[in-house]
Amino acid sequence: MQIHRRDFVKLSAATTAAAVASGSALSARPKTESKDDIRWAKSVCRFCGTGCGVQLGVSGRHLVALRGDPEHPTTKGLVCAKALFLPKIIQAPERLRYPRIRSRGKLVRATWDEAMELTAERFASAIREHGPNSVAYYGSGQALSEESYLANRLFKGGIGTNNVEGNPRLCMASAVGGYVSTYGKDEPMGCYDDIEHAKTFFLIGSNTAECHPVIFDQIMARRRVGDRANVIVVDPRRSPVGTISDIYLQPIPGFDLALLHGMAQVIIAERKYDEAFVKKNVQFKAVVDGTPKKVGFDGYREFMQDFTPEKAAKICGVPAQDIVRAARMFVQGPTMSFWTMGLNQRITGVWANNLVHNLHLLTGQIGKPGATPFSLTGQPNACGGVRDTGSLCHILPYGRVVKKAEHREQIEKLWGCKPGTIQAKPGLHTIEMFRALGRDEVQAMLVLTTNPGHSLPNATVHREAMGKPRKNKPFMCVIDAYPTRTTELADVLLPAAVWAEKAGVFGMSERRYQYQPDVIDPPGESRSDFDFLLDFAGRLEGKGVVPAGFISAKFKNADDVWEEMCEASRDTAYDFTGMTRERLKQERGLRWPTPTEDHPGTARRFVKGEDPLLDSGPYANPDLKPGELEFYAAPDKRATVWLRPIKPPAEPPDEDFPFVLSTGRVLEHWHTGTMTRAAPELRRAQPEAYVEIHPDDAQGLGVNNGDMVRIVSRRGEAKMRAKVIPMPRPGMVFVPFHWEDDDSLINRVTLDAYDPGSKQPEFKICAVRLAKA
Amino acid sequence: MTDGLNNAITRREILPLAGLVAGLGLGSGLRWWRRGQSALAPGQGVVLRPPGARSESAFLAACTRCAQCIEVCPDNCLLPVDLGSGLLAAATPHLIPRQTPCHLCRGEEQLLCIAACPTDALAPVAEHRALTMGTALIDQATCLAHLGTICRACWHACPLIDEAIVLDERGRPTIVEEACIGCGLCDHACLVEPSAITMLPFGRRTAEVGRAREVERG
Repeated sequence: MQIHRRDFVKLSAATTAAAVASGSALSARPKTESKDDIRWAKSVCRFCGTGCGVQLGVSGRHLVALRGDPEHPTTKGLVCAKALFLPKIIQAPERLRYPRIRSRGKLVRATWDEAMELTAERFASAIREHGPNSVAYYGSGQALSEESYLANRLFKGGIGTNNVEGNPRLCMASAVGGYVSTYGKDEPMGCYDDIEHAKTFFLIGSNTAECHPVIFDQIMARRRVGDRANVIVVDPRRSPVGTISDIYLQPIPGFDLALLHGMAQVIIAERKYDEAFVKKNVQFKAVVDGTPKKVGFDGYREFMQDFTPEKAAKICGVPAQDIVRAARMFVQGPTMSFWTMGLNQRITGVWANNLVHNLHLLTGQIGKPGATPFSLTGQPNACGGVRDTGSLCHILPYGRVVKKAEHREQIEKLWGCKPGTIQAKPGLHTIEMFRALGRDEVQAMLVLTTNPGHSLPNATVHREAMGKPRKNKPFMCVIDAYPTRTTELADVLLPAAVWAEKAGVFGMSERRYQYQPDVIDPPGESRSDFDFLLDFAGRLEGKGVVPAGFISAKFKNADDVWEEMCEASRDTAYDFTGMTRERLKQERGLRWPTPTEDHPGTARRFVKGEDPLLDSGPYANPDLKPGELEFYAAPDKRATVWLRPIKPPAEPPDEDFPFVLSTGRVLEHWHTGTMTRAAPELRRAQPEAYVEIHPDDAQGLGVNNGDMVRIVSRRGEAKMRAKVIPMPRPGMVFVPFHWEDDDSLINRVTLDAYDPGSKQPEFKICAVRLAKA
Repeated sequence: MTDGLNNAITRREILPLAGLVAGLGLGSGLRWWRRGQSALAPGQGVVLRPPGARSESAFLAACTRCAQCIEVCPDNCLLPVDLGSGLLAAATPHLIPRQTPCHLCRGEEQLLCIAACPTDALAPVAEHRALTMGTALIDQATCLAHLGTICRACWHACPLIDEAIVLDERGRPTIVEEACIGCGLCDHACLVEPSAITMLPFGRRTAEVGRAREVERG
């Protein structure tokens, strides 16, 4: 890879020095010895789904520094500023240290045994009195894969409820829906290597510059080499991605589907589609009266008559000539698309995903180096840890679904359950789970390494569900490493060990499982989620609500669980039976499928010569030539171009609430900010919430830059300073959601309407009014 | 480092005051006096004056030390220069952006310190863009972005984003000297310790300072 590697030696030395300095600036920590005393261990960054390889500088049992891992195959030593502060963040004084139990309204210190016994008893009594569906698990794309797998096993196979959810529902459920409905198979089929081969990048609904900075840096590098890459950006807000764009399109929030159709229409009208590819690999479908129906290319072409650039322009608010320009640039492949929450967090999330795939399928921009539709993941372990381990209410490990008897039987056999233990009906998905909690139908909930009291949309309602004192109030057990807006609502609060304090596997966006070692001790009495789950399972077994030995007789540590996970993946499209624990400890991650111990991992799925599933097993096809592509998991082995109608957002702006509110992120903080706000430097750089308002709108409102502004929706309000800047399109305001005080808690304002397919809420669009505070 | 710089810059300003200096004695007394003259805050580098301040000598002559600007500052970013910095500058307003940068009075129609100033020590400006408090200088040897870690904290903090701080083709921040007004928000936001950004009072050539730093580093 020619990509920069900015004078690497100098870089890593200096970065290390900076990191060491910041690490040793910690209070109460002995001054770090010389740099020679530092031992370096390879690991993975704790933040986003990019999965940057890092090296941890350890002195004794102290983490004193972090640097990018120059030997990492895809991120090659690059990290963003957040990562450098991880040593300080993980050793911050804010960390929770002791278990606590709520007593007379206050969380008071307790022993682990007391807290665990209370938790187990409350779960057991709920199960006995109200059945298994009266308990629920709400997990995280930040737990280790082994932890999510174990929790899923305990709840679905042990307790016998499918009420297993997690924050990936808020994050990538629509991307899953898009991949599954288009290709019959979840996950990006391409990989990060494609970045260096791509000629055109299509970034839609992704502030890559701040949310996946290392990916952005690699795209930027593709603009410095001889064959300079094109960048098309679609986002109603002009985010920092704009600094490298050739075309920047700002559609009306919620109407980008018309833009995507418009581009496809141009591609067809100008005969720039790949006819041979389409003929061989693609089918066209529309949903008619609730059932998918094949309509053929002619049916699609006819449907597209409603989306000529002129007609599309009227719907999406982007000039027709810009739609044409974008379409013409898109076909200059190899073309790689990236997207995240801008598409996913919508009631039309799955459809929007489908329409991006449509562009790739029409043009054949898929399965070749540099040509792929790639959904970026927001969390370090949502893809490999939650999606793939089946830790959501409707799925089972490695591509199985609860609805299929055959899949349930396979998993029941593997787990050693009595046949019929796993329910055939999906459990409650996230929003409905918290609504059921509010109705006291869910009587006990476990929240693990996530912060729904801050991150759920329409937060006031769901916060009351979790914490409002009432008769028969459901029991909340929360395990986390930092105080959050959720830990304050707990009945039992347990201190969690995180990241470098525990060993296990993260699986990031590009299907890569990476092992991270435990190099330091957790503070106080903190324990890993894994140890908590083992203890919890043992107690539930003791109380007779989980079959004796179901967990306790099988697993002693994360390695045991990994072994069963490998087994669960056998003969599925995920097959990573070749990823032994030893191998993972050696390698800098491996991309699944990796069916044998000598298999190097799979860069591109569906491609003969790269994807081992085309060579042997149920999907094998010996007739394909190397480089040829087959969508083996899809019906008729053809991917689907979907004819999706335009559907307005759940709450479009109106007279009373004339602005669209969209939320997002900044580079210096991560999600609910509980980690990044523990670094004083990051806190100083981004100290408080703000609302971006377009200058035209600000003028109309009489708001000056820096004024305090109230943001009011039908559900709640927030108050923060205005940043008058031409970043959001007029009529739209933007708020980063990292800050937790009551005024800044923008999720009190957002909407919890969700996509009927993916059940992912529409964080990105709701109607608000603004007033000077 | 800063001592040498300031001596060089203020030498000519010292001359008219030579008589007074003689009266105060030599040696440490002189040093103390000159420190005030050059507006050097101990450990803080060169002093930055409030928005609208005139040239250092004119400002010192016009400022009555009434502290009204200090009192009205909504973000409490203006501080009186302490006595330890010398008699002449003592009690005049300055700001230390690393601690509290100038937020340009956030939503206010006009800058309150300028409005409060009873003399013309702080003179009104047509718009924020015309302010000349100082100029930011990025030290590429310690700036994370220039070292290869992805960071845009200063760029994000800049009230004149993409005007006073621009990102180069590698995403690294660069100061546009003509556009920088010297508010110090970038210095405040900088993630490294000490800040990779130095705020230079307006009129000091950044190139000059950059060279001096090179020399000091050897």
